[in-house]
Amino acid sequence: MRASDIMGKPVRCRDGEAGRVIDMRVDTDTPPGAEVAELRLAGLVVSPRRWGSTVGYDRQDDRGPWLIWWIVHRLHRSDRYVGWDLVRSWADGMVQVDAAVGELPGVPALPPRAT
Amino acid sequence: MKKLLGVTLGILTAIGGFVDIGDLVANALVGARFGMALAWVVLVGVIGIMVYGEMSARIAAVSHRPTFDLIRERLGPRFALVNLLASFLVNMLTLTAEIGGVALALELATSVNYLLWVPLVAFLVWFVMWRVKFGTMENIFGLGGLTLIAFAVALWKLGPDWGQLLHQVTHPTVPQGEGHPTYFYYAIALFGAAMTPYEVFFLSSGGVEEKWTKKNLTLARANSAIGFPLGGLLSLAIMGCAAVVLLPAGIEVDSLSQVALPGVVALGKLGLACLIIGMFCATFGAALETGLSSGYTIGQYFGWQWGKYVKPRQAARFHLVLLASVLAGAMLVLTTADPIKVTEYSLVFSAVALPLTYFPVLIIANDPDYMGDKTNSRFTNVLGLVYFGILSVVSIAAIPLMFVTKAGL
Amino acid sequence: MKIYRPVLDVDLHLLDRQVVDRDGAMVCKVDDLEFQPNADGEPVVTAILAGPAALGPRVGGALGRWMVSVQERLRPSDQDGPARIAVALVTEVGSDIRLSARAVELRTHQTEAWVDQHVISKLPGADHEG
Repeated sequence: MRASDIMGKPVRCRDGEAGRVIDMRVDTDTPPGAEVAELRLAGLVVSPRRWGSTVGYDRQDDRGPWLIWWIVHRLHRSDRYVGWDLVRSWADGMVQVDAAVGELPGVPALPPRAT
Repeated sequence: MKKLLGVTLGILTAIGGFVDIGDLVANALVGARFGMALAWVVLVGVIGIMVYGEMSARIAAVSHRPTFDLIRERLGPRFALVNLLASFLVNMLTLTAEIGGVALALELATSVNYLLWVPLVAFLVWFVMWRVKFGTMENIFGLGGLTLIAFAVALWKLGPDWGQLLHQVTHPTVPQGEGHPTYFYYAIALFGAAMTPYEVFFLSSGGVEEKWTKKNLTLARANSAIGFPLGGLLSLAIMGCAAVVLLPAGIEVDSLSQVALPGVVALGKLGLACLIIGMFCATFGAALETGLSSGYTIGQYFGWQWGKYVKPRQAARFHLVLLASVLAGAMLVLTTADPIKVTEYSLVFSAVALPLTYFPVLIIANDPDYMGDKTNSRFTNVLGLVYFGILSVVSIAAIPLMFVTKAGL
Repeated sequence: MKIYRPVLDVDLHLLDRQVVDRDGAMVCKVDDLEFQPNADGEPVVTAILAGPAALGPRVGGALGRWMVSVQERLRPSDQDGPARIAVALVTEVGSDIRLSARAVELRTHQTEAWVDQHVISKLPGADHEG
């Protein structure tokens, strides 16, 4: 499976479409700085809007310039996080999720980079 | 002492490097038609390039990565590809204009038709990019371009009514016989000349080539803070000379000899010689910078090894792009398209491409992943946003105005 | 490998990053990532994918499809799909991605080597630092 098989693909939940995959979250299962064995796919970040996400303003706090940060945060208010265990299939360019849109949690903020 | 020398060198290089064929043509052309009524655009443009130039330099010094490299990382391959195609095309147009400019300077010096100089110029431009050390290249052509100070000397020698000139600057009015659309069209061309995209690509890639670190930050900022404004003053001197000599005589600028005419009037043969050397160095330097920028942008998008800091064999695809670009530029000049017209078009299209170029710079300069604790200050962000607004307006208005005014006729 | 965050987002932190070899030379960009199931059946990153065949699907549209076809026409007959860098070669994931190998040892070096062999090395002075 490639990242491009999932990135950008529409996400269908039990009760309708939730948007598109704008990112894939991987967990190292290790504290920062320690040697990492593998990068495990933990879940998907799903958004009804494509724009403004790669810039990262929506998942990290306190970034200037404030105008752009504010615009992106408003655009991505309704983003949802889909744990990988809820994904039933990703065939034919569509991700099928075993949950209702309303059941999906918001996107957890990313912890900041360790120095 | 060595540090002081380094700083001075950097500033001088920035001044000499600020002026290229676009600035020479735009400022002279505008001075001859509008007097000093568009001088405010140069001032606005200088502040813009200072703000964004400092950001690009800081990005290179702190993250050790040049801007274009980071555009794809931050904004995705699709946006970056659009950006690459647009930037590359504008760059090619600018490179063509600069090669034409060098050939024109040589024509001015020797009375041998500029087209005959093109093959030699193209070869020399390529050869310098191939063999000459980055620092040496920057110093020689930057300092050589400094002889354009003859424009400032000429203006002083012409003894114009300074009060009247100042009045024109502070009370800009559209002169009789010129329409408002044309006025704004040339405002856009002047703005494009001050903030031409290749300047930031080259500045940040050059910073990485010269292995800047956080320690060079003050130096880079000094270059920005002093070099660009002095370069702007030089642009205004060119405009002033044209306003004082060409405007009253009704002479319009459609060749490089008219750009140089005020220098001859004021300083005779010596003035002309200085100006020719200055124009040659400024355009040759700019040809090197745009040539290298074509390699930087493509190489940095695809992740190739790029740069003059490694042997050519270690950056083979990069050098192939340099070679192909110079050949293409030379061939475009040899189509006998009017080099002055090509220059004007390159400025207008540069203006259109401005938001694509500068938006990523603003974003990246705020990203702590790359900048650590050296992200933009509040003040820089306010200026950055204001200017982003300005250049968005400029970008949107450029093409319609070009059609309405029939490219400034 | 060393990583500075416990959790990463693929598009934010991995895709389109510059890949750099053990000596600091540029290798490629992370054009795509390969995932395979681990021992517990969960997908893990197994390789970095690079080259037109990897970048094409991410650019999308007609241009993307053209990129993929370019690679298919150029690739040697014995190899299938885009150039692959196994994740075992990755030593550090920071603002760029560092490898334990040298650029010349990797499959991503093929086009560069071709241009060097057929064009650049034929020009005088190709071995001099400029």
